[in-house]
Amino acid sequence: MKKEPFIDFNGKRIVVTGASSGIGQAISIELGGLGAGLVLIGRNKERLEETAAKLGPAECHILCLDLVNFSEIFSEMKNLAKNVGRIYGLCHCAGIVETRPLTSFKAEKMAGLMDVNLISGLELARVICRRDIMEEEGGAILFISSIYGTVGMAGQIAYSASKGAVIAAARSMAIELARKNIRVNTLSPGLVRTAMTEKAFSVLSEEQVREIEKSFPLRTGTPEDVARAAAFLLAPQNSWITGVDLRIDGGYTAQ
Amino acid sequence: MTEQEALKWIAELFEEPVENIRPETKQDEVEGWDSLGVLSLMAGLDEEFDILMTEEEMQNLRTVADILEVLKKNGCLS
Repeated sequence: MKKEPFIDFNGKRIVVTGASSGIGQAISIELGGLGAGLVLIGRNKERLEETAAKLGPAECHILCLDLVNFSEIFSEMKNLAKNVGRIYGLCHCAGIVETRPLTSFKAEKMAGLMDVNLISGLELARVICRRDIMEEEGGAILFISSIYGTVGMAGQIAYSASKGAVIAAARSMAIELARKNIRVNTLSPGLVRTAMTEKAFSVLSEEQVREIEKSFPLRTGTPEDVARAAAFLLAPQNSWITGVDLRIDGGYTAQ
Repeated sequence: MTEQEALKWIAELFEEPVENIRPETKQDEVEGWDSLGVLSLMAGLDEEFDILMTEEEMQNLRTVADILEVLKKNGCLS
């Protein structure tokens, strides 16, 4: 008896935000290797093209978009879908992090994190989940959250709030969109060493960084660790998984 | 707004091709006009046309013609 592949996207198109680097780039490459067509969204055209060059034969489209320009998201995505065809999924990896203790909390900084980490993802989902845009059989949405959306970390109040909001919003979206056979999940990685996390670490002492690394029972993560889990949650073969927050963190939150 | 433009707006709201939305189209013929679709319509009428509807009034809209009638009564349809 022929065994079906564990994961095979079979040409289904997935929009990946934050595709220029780090986790978004790794996810794009993983999905491309598993048969997905990609729509890469980011602000930097050159870096998106670098990601595209790593995708091999996979179908790939690039969309340069600043996701905080909310009014552009709907029209740009509708236009894109008109040109490339039906979309199967969205993986919202774009996100910003800022280490800022409560004593220096600023409302506008909080708003900035919410805009990118949460609201832009919802705006993208709003257009991608339309009946005239998404594949008729349904699809899958994945938001990259963080373990700090569930557990606390000093200096990460605004970041935690934004990532916690992503988890909560995704849960309600999963219930609402089940009628359209659209699955919605979140992936909460622990500490993954990327350019973005290096920037957050730069304000910490060496000892503080060492302590953080030691706190992960297995090790800190790589973008490829996250990419494999993302592919699992997005895969059309896993059609009964929705409303889930999957933590992958080397055992950090099991302590 | 002309009737054609209104039909286009309704089609867009319910995520339907515009050719599927005609005045005689009934609610149960429009996949997107379910309980959540009713809320989207309510929000749309408010945000686009400043038309505030009660839930009861929304439940009484059964055809696209009923929606057009609401727009007409509120001076939004030429």
